[in-house]
Amino acid sequence: MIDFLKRLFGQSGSSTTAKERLRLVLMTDHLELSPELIEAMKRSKSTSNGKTAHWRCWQTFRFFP
Amino acid sequence: VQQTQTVQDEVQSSAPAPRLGRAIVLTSGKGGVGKTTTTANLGTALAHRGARVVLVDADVGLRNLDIVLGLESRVKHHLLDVLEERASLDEALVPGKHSESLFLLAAAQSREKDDVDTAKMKALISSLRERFDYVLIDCPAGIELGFRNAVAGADEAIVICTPEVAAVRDVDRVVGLLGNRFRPQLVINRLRPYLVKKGKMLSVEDVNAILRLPLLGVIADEPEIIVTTNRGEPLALRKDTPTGAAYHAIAARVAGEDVPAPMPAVPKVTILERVGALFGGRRA
Repeated sequence: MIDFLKRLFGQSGSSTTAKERLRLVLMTDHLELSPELIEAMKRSKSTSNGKTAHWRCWQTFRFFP
Repeated sequence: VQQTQTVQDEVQSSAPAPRLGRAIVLTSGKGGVGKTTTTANLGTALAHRGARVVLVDADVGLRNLDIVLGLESRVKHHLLDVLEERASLDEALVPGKHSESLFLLAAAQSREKDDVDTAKMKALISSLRERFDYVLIDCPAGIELGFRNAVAGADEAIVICTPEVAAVRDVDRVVGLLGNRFRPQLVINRLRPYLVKKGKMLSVEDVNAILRLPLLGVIADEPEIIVTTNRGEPLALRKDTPTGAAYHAIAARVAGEDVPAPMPAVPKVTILERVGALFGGRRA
């Protein structure tokens, strides 16, 4: 029943989750970060401009792979 | 005599060098993303354009390209027979069912990837380049020796990626290994535009924002591909279908034509299908 209602009212898009996971995974791969650091980045909250720490790190990584 | 020799030298030096075909490896890192299907369809579409094409199944031990092309009953000799000089290249090349200019060099099924000598593989691809316009090499999954052998003789790469986290990660790794020498280009396979529209699948832009590769084209996740693979008839034989046309557009782009990269459209969903999806039915 819950599944049916979820379908009826629409679930939140999983592509956003996929994108975030992908960025973290690639950051780990490229920079060889420790799992602890990744976990810390996942937990990090929004900064003053509304972006998470790992988002900012990703932006840096994108330009300096 | 000396003058004659000089003229001969001049003739030889002015004679055009034999034009070598292009050796393109189709790779992905991850298994099950559609490398073999793409190889078969791209080869079929290139042959349909009049090019002489050979498809090399480099997936030693797990050959499938013969099945996708419907040629499994015609394979008498395989890649390792040629490399180990038990059969000539002419004996091992299997002509395609639907095109006179398409050939298959099947992989050995009962051998292992480690049995392939990289230097011999490279030499074989070189000799195929002298005879064909396109040598398409179907690379095995992974980045071990099978991958290294498959890319050894290639000078270009097409990477196949599905819009999934694992596939994109693996392509990223493979592209890193390939480097710039292979000028890798991207085919995104198994995209479901309806799911992208609903925000439930990575979009073409999402994938290529990460990979940043020249996009050859996008292939939709079509049930028809499974049906045609079951029959051993690549969908590229049916240019009238959207996916068949997409493979032909990719072939045109590979051949250097300035045509737009094929993009699957969002299919129209009927009310009945919408209701069906509420109860667990599959949407395009």
